[in-house]
Amino acid sequence: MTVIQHPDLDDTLVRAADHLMRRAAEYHDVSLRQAQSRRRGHHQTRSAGHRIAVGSAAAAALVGVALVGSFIGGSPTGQSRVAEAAWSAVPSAATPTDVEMIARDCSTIVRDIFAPTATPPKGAPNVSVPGWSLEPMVVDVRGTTTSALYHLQTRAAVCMRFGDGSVNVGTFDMPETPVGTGSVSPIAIDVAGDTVWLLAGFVPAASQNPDSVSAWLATVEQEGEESIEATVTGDGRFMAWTPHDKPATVRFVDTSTGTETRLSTIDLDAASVIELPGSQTTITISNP
Amino acid sequence: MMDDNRRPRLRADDFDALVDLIRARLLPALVSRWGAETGRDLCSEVEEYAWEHRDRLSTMDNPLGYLYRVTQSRSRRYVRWRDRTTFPSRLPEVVHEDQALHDTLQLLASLSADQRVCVLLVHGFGWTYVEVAELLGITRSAVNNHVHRGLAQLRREPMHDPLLSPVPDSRTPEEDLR
Repeated sequence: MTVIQHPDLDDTLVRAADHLMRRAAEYHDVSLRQAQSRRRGHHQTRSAGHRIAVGSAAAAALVGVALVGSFIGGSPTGQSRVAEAAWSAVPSAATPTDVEMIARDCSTIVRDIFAPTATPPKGAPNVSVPGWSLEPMVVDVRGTTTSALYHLQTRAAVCMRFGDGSVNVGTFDMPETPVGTGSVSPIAIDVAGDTVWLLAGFVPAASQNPDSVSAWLATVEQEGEESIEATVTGDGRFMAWTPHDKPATVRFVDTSTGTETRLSTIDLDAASVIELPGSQTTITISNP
Repeated sequence: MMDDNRRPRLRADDFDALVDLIRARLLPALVSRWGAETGRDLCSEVEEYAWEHRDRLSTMDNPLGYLYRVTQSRSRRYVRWRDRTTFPSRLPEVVHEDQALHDTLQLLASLSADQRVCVLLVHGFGWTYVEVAELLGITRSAVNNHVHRGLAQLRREPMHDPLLSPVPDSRTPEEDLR
């Protein structure tokens, strides 16, 4: 950890101010190009100074992700949401630090969520939540958001850690074992009015030859949007999330043979919201 | 204070001057409070708001202070993900370039929004306490409190946050080779 020496504090605060303004200017420059191409023809009657401002806010949220090295598809209207700024279509490889941090932040909450699942019938001896279920099965890093999937029997929990370090956890039903054709459990996640969709499940090979799953690629296709690459683990689980509400198709490709499998298209918009008994850290989740 | 009947309306070039003022004087406060990206977005929104309400703004003594309050209500959609601050807490591109800057930004993120804005405007941007008080619509003594409490927290022992840069390795290269 760098200890900031007191005499240097003023200097670093000046550099922090410069950095923030420089970042804002860079962000604005790029968003201007997006705004002008998306919104050409609008607001022609306004002053030149004002034209610069119009529309850049919506496009700028898109560009925020471009600045961290990933492109996300925007709608033709330039509409964007906060969720998209924390997302990328292609996941990053989870570092040991990512795994350690999300495990540290989420395991206690997940234990509380899984406790009823692990509770034995009345009269039976108490059974604690198994330790292995508090280890993330999948860790998916995209944009500034790290998500972890936990699974105990037929219950799963997703823990999302956002760029500012805040954490939300929700739970949903998910089959305990893989099926031959692959499976997906689509979940709508509503966080204070903003919705994203999580798609988690098993690749086709997971039920047959667990050793071969590393060759499988799982993608989520949504018309008009960039193909979303899922994170696939060694035991055949996959996980991705999307901020787009269009119908989604999960496509599996065995990269060793070229075999392709598609699951039925899922109407994400048809998701019904189920309120969970929750705390500040529990999000509302629904199954379509 | 100028009589409302005598107050001239903003002309187009006046409005451009207001936009320049927003970018020069309001944007620093916005990026200090919400970070570069959200601050820039809010600045764009408030410029649009200023154009739509230019007549009303032209009658105000402190239009920037008013617009700052507008950004606070406009910021809700950026922070609607529950209890979320948008000031950046992960700055991967900075940590490799300037570790002290990275850590300072991380520590700033731990301050309250008002403390962060006051500390950055006074010590980062070189504003006077009175200028900060005028923009934020608070008293000079409140600014003073925010600055001093914020600086005290920054000077306190560093947070035990693994996001902060790692402890420098005290081993010598020779020890590594053993």
